[in-house]
Amino acid sequence: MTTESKMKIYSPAGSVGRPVHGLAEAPKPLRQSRLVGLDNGKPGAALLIESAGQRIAQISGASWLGVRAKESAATPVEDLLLSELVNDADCVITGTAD
Amino acid sequence: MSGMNDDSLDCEDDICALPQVSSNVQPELELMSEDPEELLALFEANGWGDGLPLVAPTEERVEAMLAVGGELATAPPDEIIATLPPRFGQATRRLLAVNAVLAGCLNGVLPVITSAVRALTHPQINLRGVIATTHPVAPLLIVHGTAVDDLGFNSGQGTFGPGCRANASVGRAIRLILLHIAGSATGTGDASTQGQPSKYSYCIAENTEQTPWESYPERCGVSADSAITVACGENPHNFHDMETDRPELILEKAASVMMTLGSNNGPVSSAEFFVVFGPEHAATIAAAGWSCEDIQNFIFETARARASVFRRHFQVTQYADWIKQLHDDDLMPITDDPQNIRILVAGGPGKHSCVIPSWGMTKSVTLPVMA
Repeated sequence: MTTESKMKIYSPAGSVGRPVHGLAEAPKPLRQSRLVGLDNGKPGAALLIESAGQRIAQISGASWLGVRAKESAATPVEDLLLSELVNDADCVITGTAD
Repeated sequence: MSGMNDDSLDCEDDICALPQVSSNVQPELELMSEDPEELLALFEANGWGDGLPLVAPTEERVEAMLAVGGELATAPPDEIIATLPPRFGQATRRLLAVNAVLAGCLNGVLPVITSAVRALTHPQINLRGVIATTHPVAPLLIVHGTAVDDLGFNSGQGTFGPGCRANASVGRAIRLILLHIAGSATGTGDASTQGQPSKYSYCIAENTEQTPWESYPERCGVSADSAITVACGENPHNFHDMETDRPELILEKAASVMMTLGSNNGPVSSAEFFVVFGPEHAATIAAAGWSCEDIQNFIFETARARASVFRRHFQVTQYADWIKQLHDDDLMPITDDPQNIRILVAGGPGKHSCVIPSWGMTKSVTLPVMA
C-alpha cells in the first residue's frame, strides 16, 4: 500500500502537565542516618513499618525515630507532615496501597 | 507516554493547573486503513484502550466533535481544561474530543464531557484517590436538564444500560479520558483488585419529567438549563418493593442495602450514598406527602447498626467526632449527615430502585454544562 493511503489519527493521551521526575539518588549508607516510618493508614501498616524500621536500624546502625501517620489512607500526605519528614529524616520508610 | 510540553514547567503543583494554551496538536499516528483490528492492535501496543473496538480519531471526526455551534464553537480547542492525576495529563478540549470520538460519541456531547472533566478535578472528588484505590469505584456521570433530550440521553427505562448510544458512549468517553490522559490503566495507575463493569461506562440521566420533587441540580443550588453530576461509587445495588404503598417500607429496604458492612462507607462516616428511585417508588413516596428531606432523615435514622458492630469490624476509621463518642450499644448511622444521602429519580416503569454507595473519601459535584 502507498504512503498516500495511510490514515492519520490523534493520540488519545496528550502531554503531561508537570515534569517527570527521575528517582532520587540512593541514600548513602544508613549508618547514623535518621530513619522515620510513614504509616499510610492501611490496616497493619504501622506494625509492619515499625517492625521493619527497627530491624533496619539495628542492622545498619541508623537511628530509628518511630512512625508517623497520614490522616487518611485515601488522601495524599499532608503538606505539614511532609515538611516535618523532610526536616526530621534522612530516609523515610513507607508503603503504598493495602 | 507523550513527551513533556515545555509550557508545563510553569505549572503549579495544583492538579487543576491551567490556563495556558498549549501548542496546536496534530494527528501524529498512522494507520494503513480503517480496519478496526489495526486500530485496536495499535492501541493495545501502546497500552491504550478499554479492550473494546474503537472509532478512529481522524482529524475530520475530531473537528466535527469540537464544532458544537454558537459561542461554544469558538472556545479554543487547545485550551487546557484540567490536569488529570496520577499521570498529570493535560486535558485539552481537543484531547477530550479525541477520546469522545474513540468512544463512539455523537457530535454535540462535548460540553457534557468537558463539564464532567471539570467536575472530576474538583478537590472533593479526590480523583487521585478514586483512581489509585484497590476499591472498584468508578465515576458515575448523571446528566440533568435540557441536555438529556437535546443530546439523546436516556433517563427512563434502562437508563443504566444497555441500549442508549449517548449514555453508553459518553460514559465510555469519561473512562477513556481517565485511561489515556489521567493514566488510570489497570495495574499502573488503577489498583482496583477486581474492577467492576461500570469501569467500562457509567452514565445515566435524571428523569426530571417523573421527579415529584425539585430537580437534583435545583436542590444542589445549581441553576442552569443543563447540568451534570459526577459521583464516584460502586455499581448500583438494586432493591425492589412490589407491594407497599407505605414509604417507610420502601425506605427501610434502601436503608438495609446501605447498611452493608463490606462497603467502603463502613469505616468512613462522611460517605455519600445515592438513592436512585425508579419513578414508581418516587410517586408512591411523594403521594404520601414525603419530601426529599423527609426521605433523607428517615434513611439517616434507619440505616444504623450498634456502634459495637462497627467497632468490631473496623479499627482504621474516619469517623466524625460525635460518632466516636457513641457508646457500644448506641445505634450508629452508616453516614453522619442526612445530606450525605443524595436523592435522584431515574429509570422507567417497575417497582425497582437502587443504592449507589460511594467510595467513602469522595463527594459528588454538580456543575452547569459549559463548553
